[in-house]
Amino acid sequence: MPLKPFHFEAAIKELEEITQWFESTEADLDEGLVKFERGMELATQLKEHLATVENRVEKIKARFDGTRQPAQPTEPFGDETDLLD
Amino acid sequence: MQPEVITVSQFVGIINDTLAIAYPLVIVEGEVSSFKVNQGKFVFFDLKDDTSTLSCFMMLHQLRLPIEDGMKVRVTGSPKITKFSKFSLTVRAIEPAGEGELRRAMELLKRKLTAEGLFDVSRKRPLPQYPHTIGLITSATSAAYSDFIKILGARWGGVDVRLADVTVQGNTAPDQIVGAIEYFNQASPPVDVVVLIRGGGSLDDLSAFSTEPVARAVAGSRTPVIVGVGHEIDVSLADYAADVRAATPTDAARLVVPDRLEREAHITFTAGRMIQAIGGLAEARHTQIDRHLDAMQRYLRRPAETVREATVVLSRHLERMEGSLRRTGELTAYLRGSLEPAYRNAIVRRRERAISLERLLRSASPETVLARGYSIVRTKTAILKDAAKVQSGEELMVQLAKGTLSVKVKK
Repeated sequence: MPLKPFHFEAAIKELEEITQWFESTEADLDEGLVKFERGMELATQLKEHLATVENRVEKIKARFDGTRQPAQPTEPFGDETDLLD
Repeated sequence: MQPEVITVSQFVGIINDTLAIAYPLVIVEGEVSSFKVNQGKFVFFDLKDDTSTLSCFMMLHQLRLPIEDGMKVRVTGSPKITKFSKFSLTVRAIEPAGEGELRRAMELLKRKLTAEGLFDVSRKRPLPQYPHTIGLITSATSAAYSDFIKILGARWGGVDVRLADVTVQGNTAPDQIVGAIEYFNQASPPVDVVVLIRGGGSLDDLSAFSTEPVARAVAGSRTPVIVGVGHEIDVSLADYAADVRAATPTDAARLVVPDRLEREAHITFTAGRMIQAIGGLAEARHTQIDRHLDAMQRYLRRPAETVREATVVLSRHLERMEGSLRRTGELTAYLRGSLEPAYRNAIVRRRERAISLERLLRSASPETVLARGYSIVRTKTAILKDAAKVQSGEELMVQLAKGTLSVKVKK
């Protein structure tokens, strides 16, 4: 488990954006070096995350029955004729 | 002995008490006729066999599956006499008698809910690609649960699974499932996706998932729901109502999280594209450096009179190149291991070529030449390179490594 929360979705999106920038026409080597370093860092972190993290299961203590039990049937007042068939 | 005289109300009361003790709960099977709903909440119908008819009454909200005339049902209820002396069965539960009837009831409900638009494709929402929390609704002791957790762990990590342990079959199952869906919809912190699963079973075993309350709760959930019930061929109404339908509990695990091997390959591929692209940028920078180097060499081949000018130009080239080389050098450090050796060698070769050119340039500068014992002779206007171009008696300036001499031409 990583010590600080790692946002996988944001990290993979950032890496994809950096790669897209590199493949665009505005890419420049000097600016690219900083981005490149960040991209490599992200790729490493993402892979570490994939390799180490486990799932956790927590059972909820609340019970789910009883709360929605409908009331016992009551008689339909004033509608007794329906039972006269 | 004279029997005690009682009122009508007392008598009806005694009969009802007697019935409550003798038959607190009966289960009667028969065919439905004269089915009707009054005031949107009271249900009346007759239960018949070949010879007898029984009046039945129930509340609409207790009706889990649609009922129609001609359907064979099993009714659970208590016998009662009304204050008008009409005998009827107060129904608590009603279920189709046999698989054929169950199918028929499910089909009826499906038609009704389809007409309402509950199963419309336009209602389906996409699941989050990387869920952090999953609200899992199933029986904690079921194979469906252990299969789901196993496949989930094999594919992905870092997920908080919050388990709502519910009964997945029997009379209490629909209420528990609905309660769990409601719980997750109100949970704080919220869950990213709700997963409702159950292993295979008979149509009757799976019937809780085809009840109206469960289908409505799934369709009405604010959090996207994925439903995986039974085997591939089993389809419940909850499946139709779900945002995503999984064929089995295992399939639900496959649909709810990505596969780490696939994602790892994607990361490697994406980083690889980036490395390739920066390699291309470095290559362009090399071409630029080469141009500086070529220009420097051209200047070095020029006549001596332009050496001073060449020095200025070459220094400028060197300065620019130094920046380029430093940055490509930094790149080499970053790329260690990830960059093709060819790229690295290319950078090293260019640096060496630049250093040797710089050395050559220094040796060619006027100061270096003077230090070796040469002198520069100037007229008032230019550097003297031809003895025929001076007159006898003309004054010249001689520049040495240290100092300048003023001389006169004798001959």
